[in-house]
This record gives sequence, structure tokens and C-alpha cells, in this order.
Amino acid sequence: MKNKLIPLIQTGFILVRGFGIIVLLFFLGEFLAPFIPFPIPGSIIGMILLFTALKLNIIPLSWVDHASTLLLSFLALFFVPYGVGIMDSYQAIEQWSLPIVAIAIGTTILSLLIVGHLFTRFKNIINRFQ
Amino acid sequence: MITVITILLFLMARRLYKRWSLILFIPVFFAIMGTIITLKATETPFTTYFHESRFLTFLLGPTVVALGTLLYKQLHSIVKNIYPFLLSIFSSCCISLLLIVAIGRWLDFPTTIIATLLPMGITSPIAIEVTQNLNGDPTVTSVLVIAVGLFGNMFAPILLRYMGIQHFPAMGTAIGTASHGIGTARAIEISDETGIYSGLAMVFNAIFTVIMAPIIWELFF
Repeated sequence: MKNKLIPLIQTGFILVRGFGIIVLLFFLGEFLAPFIPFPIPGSIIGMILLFTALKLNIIPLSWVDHASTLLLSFLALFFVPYGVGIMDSYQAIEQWSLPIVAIAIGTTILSLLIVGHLFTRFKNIINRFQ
Repeated sequence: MITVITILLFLMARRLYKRWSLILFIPVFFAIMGTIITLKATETPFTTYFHESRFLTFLLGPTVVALGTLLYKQLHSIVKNIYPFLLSIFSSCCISLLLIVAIGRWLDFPTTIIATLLPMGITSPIAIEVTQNLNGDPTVTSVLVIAVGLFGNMFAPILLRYMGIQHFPAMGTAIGTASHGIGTARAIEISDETGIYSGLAMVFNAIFTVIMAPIIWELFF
């Protein structure tokens, strides 16, 4: 019993520590966002801070790795309440709905196509010059 | 309380999708539909639900911060591909903006509607900012942004396979550019590499759109 409990507490501690660091950096980013002259969400600033801290060895990767992986695996879940919001606000586009939906789907597919093909195309061109 | 149902639906869909890869069982889609049905059945207004589920939406911020870890782990791959990465996002950004304006003008849309449509491929807080600056309607923009993200989450991997794009960095960049955060959630499931390319593509597409949308707007109006 004791032998099983210790690793469990350790994993728990690692997760809580990682999670704490990430949330702290998020709040720091939110705090800094108003001071930056262009619109950038606090979470993106937090992401840059976390990356910088890892790069400069201020935070070891092992401290945040597990918590990050866990959070990222639930990314889609955190969007669900916004998605549910469509239920109330779809009326907003009703008047123009058909062309708007067509444009939305069209540009999304086009973006996938453009980026997917240009990425490999540009990569080949650049490789040729190097 | 219904937030708990959302979480259970999401976890259930994840299991189901692992067994049967049907579009219906894609976790975000399944959880959204299930939650909407539950709200309708219990006659709960959306605002009540949104308020009680703020725990989930709060976690979105820290999760974006967590992308910093992926960036650190995948840095070598990104540095190697930085030019194709930035050039392909920039091209797609300009082409989409031009196309939306052109179609909008051709179909005689009011300018407010075109301004509302313009930033629909980028992440919502920035899309709302862009729309407001061009006098569009931010509520409509946020609906469209979510819808586009959901579409990307559900169909981007299939579409990319159909287009013959299998290279992880290219796939990730395409998903993030076309369908921002919700698409990125799917890209992360494919691999760490597609995930971080998608997350960064979301960021850079937003930056390019903030810069290019007003310029393209000036050219047409």
C-alpha cells in the first residue's frame, strides 16, 4: 500500500507544481497585456514567457512537461461552452446565412489547400538554394 | 451541474471515437451537441450555463500558455522550416482576405457584413478586435469564428489527407491557419509536431490579419 502511495503523491505533486507555474505565467501575461501597444492576448504572452523560461533554464522542462501535456489533451473541451453559444447567436447570421456559410466553408478549405501545398513548395525552393 | 454533463459527454466521445472513428463522435462536436440538447430539454438558458462553466473557459488561457512547452520541445523543427512556415501563412492570409472582400462586393453585401466576415479564420479575441476596428458586428464574428474552428476540427485531417498533404509540419500549419484554436486541439491529437505548428500558425495568422485586414480594406473602400 505504502509503495503505491508514494509514486502517486509524487506524480500529484509534479502535476500541481507544473499547473501552478502555468497558471501563474498566465496571470502574469494577462497583467502585462494592457501595457503592450498592439492587441495580443495575455495567454500568448504567457506562452512566450514559459518558452523563454524553459530556454533560459529558469524552469526545468520536467516541472511543466506533464501538466502541459495534460492540459493540451483537453484543449478541445475548453472550447465547448463557446460552441454551445452558437445555439443562442446563430440568428445573428440568419438573414445572410447561406452565402455566409458558403464563404466560411470555402475560405477554410482554401486556406488548408493553400498552406498545405505552399508549405512543401516553399520548402523545396528554399532547399534548392541552400 | 450541466458542466459535469459536458465533461462526461466529452470523455465518452473520446472513448467512442477511439473505437469508431465517426464524425459524429468527434469529442468537441459530440459534447457541444449533447450539451445543447440537455439545455433545451431542461430549459436552461445559455447564459446560466456559460456562467457555471466558466471553470472550463478559464482553463483555455493556461492551456495556450502550455503551448510554450511544446514550442520548446519542437524548436529545432520550427527553426528549420521557418521560411516556408511564415510564407505559406502570409500567402493564405492575403488570399483569404482578398477573396472575402471580392465575393462580398460581388454579392453586394453591406460593408458591415464584409467587415464582420473578414477576420473569421483567426482566434476570437483578436478577430473581435479586427471587426470592431472596421465597424463590423463582433457578436456575428465570434459565432463564425467558432463555426470555422469546429469545421476545421472535424474535417481538416480528412480534407488534408484527400489533398495528399501528409507532412506533419505542413498539416499543422494548414490546420492552425485555417481553423485557429479549435483546429489546434485536433492537430495536437495527431502529433506534438502538428500541434505546435498549428498553435504557432494560429498566432502568426492572427498577427498577419491584424496588419493586412486594414490595408486590404483601404484598397477596396
